[in-house]
Amino acid sequence: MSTAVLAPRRAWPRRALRAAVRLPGRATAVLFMLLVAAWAVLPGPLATHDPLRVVPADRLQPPSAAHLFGTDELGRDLYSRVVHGTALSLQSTLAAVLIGLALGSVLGLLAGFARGVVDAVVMRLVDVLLAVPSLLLSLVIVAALGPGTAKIACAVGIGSMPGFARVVRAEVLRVRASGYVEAATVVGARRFSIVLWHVVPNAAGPAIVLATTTIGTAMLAISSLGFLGFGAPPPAPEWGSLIAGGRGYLATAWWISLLPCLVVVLSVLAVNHLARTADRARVAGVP
Amino acid sequence: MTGYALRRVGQAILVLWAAYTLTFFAVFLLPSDAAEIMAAGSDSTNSVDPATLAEFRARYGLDQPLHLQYLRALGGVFRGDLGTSIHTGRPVARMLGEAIGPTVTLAALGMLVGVLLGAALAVAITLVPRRGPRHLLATVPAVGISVPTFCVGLVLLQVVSFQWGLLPAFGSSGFESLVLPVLALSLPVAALIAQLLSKSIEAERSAEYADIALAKGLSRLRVHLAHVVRNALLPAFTMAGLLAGELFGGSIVVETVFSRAGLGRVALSAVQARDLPVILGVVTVGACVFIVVNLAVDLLYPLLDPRIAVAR
Repeated sequence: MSTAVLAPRRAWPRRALRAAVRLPGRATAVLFMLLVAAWAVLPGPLATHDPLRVVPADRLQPPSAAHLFGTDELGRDLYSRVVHGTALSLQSTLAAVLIGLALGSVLGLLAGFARGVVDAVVMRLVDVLLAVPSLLLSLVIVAALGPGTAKIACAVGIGSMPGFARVVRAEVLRVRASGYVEAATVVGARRFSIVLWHVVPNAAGPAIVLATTTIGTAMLAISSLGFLGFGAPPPAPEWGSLIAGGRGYLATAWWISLLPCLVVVLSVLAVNHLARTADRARVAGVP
Repeated sequence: MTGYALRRVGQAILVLWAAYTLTFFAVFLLPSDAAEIMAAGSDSTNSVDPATLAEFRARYGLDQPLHLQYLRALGGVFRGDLGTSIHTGRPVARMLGEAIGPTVTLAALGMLVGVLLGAALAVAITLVPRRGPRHLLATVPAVGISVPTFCVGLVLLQVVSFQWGLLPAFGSSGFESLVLPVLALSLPVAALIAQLLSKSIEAERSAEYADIALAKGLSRLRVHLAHVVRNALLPAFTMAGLLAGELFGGSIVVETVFSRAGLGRVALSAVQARDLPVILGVVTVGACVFIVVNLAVDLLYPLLDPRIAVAR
């Protein structure tokens, strides 16, 4: 009897394995994201070659055991370039989501708490931002700030800001109407501390769920801007610019563009799948 | 109804003005000096000598205070004058006028094909009776929204044009050159529409009118297509309007993939050359398209769903 109670705790690898068999999609998504995270953190040991080393004899080699993803027009190993580009692409994606979350939350809190004229002005601003197609908005910001991964992250982050502002404002209005905020006001708490201790923690859930679903779209937007040529400058590898770099060789050496494409698609797919799972779990009330 | 329509048109004009103003100040305030950026062009490392800079400023009116520049530019917009391109020296309105035709054709066809494909996929998903195959089919839209437009374009280009030699890979003349770009543009849209519509159909399915129609003795297929899907289409209609902006952005990417002429090429070379008046013009046109499409959706909605008109 006692072993039966203890068994699940001891055999956690088996439990994980059973969960993986039951939910193959989720397990694959988690494994792939772990691989991508490993590429970002430890590109050196995981890459098979130097990503910048030009070997003219090896140019345009198809994928093989020596070169997993083949080589590009200069004979650089493509797999190593993808691995070394991961950190830049992932950093700018996360930075974009954090910028959007931070700016949007501030605007949403401001609008929801101040109400009146401030609310009207902020929400009209959000409406106007939503009326400009997001890629065009990013292009405006890139044109003003110049190209580069950090600036792309800014551009995409500002593009995702309106969504966060709307969600946070709606949550603030909901939380404001609740009994505990009223109680805190009656007790004499200051407005700032009410926002900090009551409104922010209770409004954070939906904003964080939106942030997880935004990771996928931000990844798509950043790779699109990289593809259009506004990402990292040439020698440095980055997913979007790798894909753009192989465009000219699509007819004869498809792997230069399409294998990095595949990595982008799989990452977005994995992130979206996990975000959807998290969202469903929240709706179902499972922490 | 006319009151509602007039109010919506007024709102749309107001939003368009605000979008123009916002972009104007974003473009001319974000960098420290717009004149310096434009005079240096794409080569941002070299510095411009002060005399050239002053001459440049005077020529484009950049030596005036910003609010005067803004008022002059806004006055120009009402006369159909969007300023002069720094890079090519041509009027922006004419440059955009030449480029907008192919882009609107591409985006409109992309929307049409995307909506049709998406609706067909959603109906197919909800018609599959067994749970297993239905779930398998329902993963198609989930995968579709994770694929960037340029990836779809590159794969189509590689397989259809280069491997099979079926359709032209590049160029912007004739119907044949439109097939692949339209497909590349419409597949992500179709995935989004299919996802929303299949959810909406599932929700409508449990409505009482569906049970009553079944009880009257109509066939399941008839109830599904003539009653459930028809009602479920309404949210998808709104969604399609909201996707107009994405389509506009997507066509910029697709035009780059297929080397087509259009607004995409104008916009990208303007961003590369940091030609601010042209960028401002492109964004204004993009916002205009989005606002007009959504205005049309809002005005058509009461005609499609009489309940809305009664509620107002």
